[in-house]
Amino acid sequence: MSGWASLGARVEVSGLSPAEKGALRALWEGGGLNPDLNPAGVSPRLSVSAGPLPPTPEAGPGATRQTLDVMGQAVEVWTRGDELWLGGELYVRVESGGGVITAAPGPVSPAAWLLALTELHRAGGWLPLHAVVLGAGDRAFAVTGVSGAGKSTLALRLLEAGAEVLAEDRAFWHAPSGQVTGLDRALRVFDGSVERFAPALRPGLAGAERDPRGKALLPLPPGSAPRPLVGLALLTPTPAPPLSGAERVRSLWETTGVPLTAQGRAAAQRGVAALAPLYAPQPLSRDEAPGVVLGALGLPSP
Amino acid sequence: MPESWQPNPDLLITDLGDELVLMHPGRSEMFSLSGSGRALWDRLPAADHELAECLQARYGLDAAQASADARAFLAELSARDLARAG
Repeated sequence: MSGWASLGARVEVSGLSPAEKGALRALWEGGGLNPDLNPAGVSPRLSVSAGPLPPTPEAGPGATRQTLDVMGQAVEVWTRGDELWLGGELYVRVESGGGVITAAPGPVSPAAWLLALTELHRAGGWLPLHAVVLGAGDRAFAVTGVSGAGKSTLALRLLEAGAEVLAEDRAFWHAPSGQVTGLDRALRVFDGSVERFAPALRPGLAGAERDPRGKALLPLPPGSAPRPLVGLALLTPTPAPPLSGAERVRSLWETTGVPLTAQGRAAAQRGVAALAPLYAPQPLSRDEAPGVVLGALGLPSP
Repeated sequence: MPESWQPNPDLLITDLGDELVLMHPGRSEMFSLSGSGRALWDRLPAADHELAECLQARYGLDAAQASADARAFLAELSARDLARAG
């Protein structure tokens, strides 16, 4: 059995192949936990092992079946209370003080691992955010928006202006403490964006790994410590009118994703309600965003 | 035995303080409750006559008006699959 930390939880893995263990750890280790967040020193425990899955529940009251599109893959999800069955590959159970994952023999898809770990962290109070998170000093600011809105380019512009990138896409907000961190290992950017918005990063393009779309993967500093989130805004390609309260709530749920388990739903509902006051009603256009974010972080505009 | 109405357990409920926002994850529809609607929602699970009594006590409605308002409220929740009788 081997152990490592993911968003402050102790992850203990047994029975998986070395390749599977390595892939899981590469994606989920980190995020740290500021000791101030956890003064009692009690870490949730997530136990991952291999073995036969319990039988999927019968359809009926208390058990639901749905098909989710995750990372471009359809995953069949059975839910019963705090239990999940993911595509016949994983069984997940949220428990007091953590949770367990059982992996069926054979390879497990990244989509199933993503759903499982995200849900256990969600139930533990970490609200996932599909957002870029910028930081400076002891402050962080998150910017959400649909794919293609310009979040990565905004991150480049703010890197050039002196901000840190805590997350490009995989951000987690710890609702009980109000602090945010990220698990991304790299910033995915097109060469042309680097040339135009962050020429100081140009040397990193040579030899950089590439994603399937040809974007360069520029490494991010590992293990960014959680820090207080001071604001969240929606990035839009063009100027847009203010969001109503209900529109902000809808946008927040789109940003965080739909919880699957009973404890995950309860924690996410508390988290979204707590995050809503930080969500600026006025969306930011690409031109407005850099100045607003730098101001929120206490950095001068270039 | 009067029917008891219960919130749909799959709803995503966000409490903004002065407004309760209900989102049906399957339909991706939003529904906001404030004032009397919020007061009635907070009483669930409840039978329709209990909601009518809530309206009478809280807003001084007569019995007929309170009953009609409670039924209309529940009919709208039911039509949107936000609450279910059973």
